Amino acid sequence: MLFENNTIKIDKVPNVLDDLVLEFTEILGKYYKYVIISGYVTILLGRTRATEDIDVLIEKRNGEIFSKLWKALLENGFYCLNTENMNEALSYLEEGLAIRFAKTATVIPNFEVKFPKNELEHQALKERIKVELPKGIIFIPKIEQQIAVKRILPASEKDVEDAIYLEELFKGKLNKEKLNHYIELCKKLKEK
Amino acid sequence: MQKTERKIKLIPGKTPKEDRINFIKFWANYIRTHSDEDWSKQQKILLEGQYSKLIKPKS
Repeated sequence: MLFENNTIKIDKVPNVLDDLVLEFTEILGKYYKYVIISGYVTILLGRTRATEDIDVLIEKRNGEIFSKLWKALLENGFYCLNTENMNEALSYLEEGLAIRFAKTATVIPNFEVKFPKNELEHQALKERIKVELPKGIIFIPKIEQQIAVKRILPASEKDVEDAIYLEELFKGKLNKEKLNHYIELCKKLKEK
Repeated sequence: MQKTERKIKLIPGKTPKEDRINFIKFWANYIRTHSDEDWSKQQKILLEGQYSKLIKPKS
């Protein structure tokens, strides 16, 4: 695993989860700037745990773009768990809610897609970094941001463990100023 | 994070939580010091055991 200039290169033996994420993001990336956040990020980077959903932030774009994405996903064997109606799906997103997509005839793992809602999520999208795999590219937030979120705003014990894992994995390679910046941002969000 | 193969010792934890944290750090160190092929083959076995019936490979 090489980490240089905001790019992580992993010469990974492909597994079914990475392949599924690459299949989904290859379609998504044609229409939206995206970033994968949370649990799957640490799995991509080697953690030995499973996840039932892959969280994805996408930039806000117009309805026409969303309809193209919707069509492309359906053509490639994905469906929306929330609704069969594209306009309803878009209205959920615009209300700040997440919508989920999975492969036909399955429920998990699924992709939980939403627009960024706070400064932290906007920054995750804006400052995303690239993970290069033998079969393609996946965008994730800065490692410092993932550590801060999981340390300060953990949703579960798994997040606490993910933070420990990432800190250990990237020991000596983290930007401490950036990490502190994200920690302060997370603390502000926590107070709200 | 490059591949200089060396032996790392896993320190047993005094509690289940400490033991788990020690293993997480041990695994992160393993990844730092072993080739991507080495660790990702092991991760693949674990993940595919959990997902193989749910995810059909793209044809």
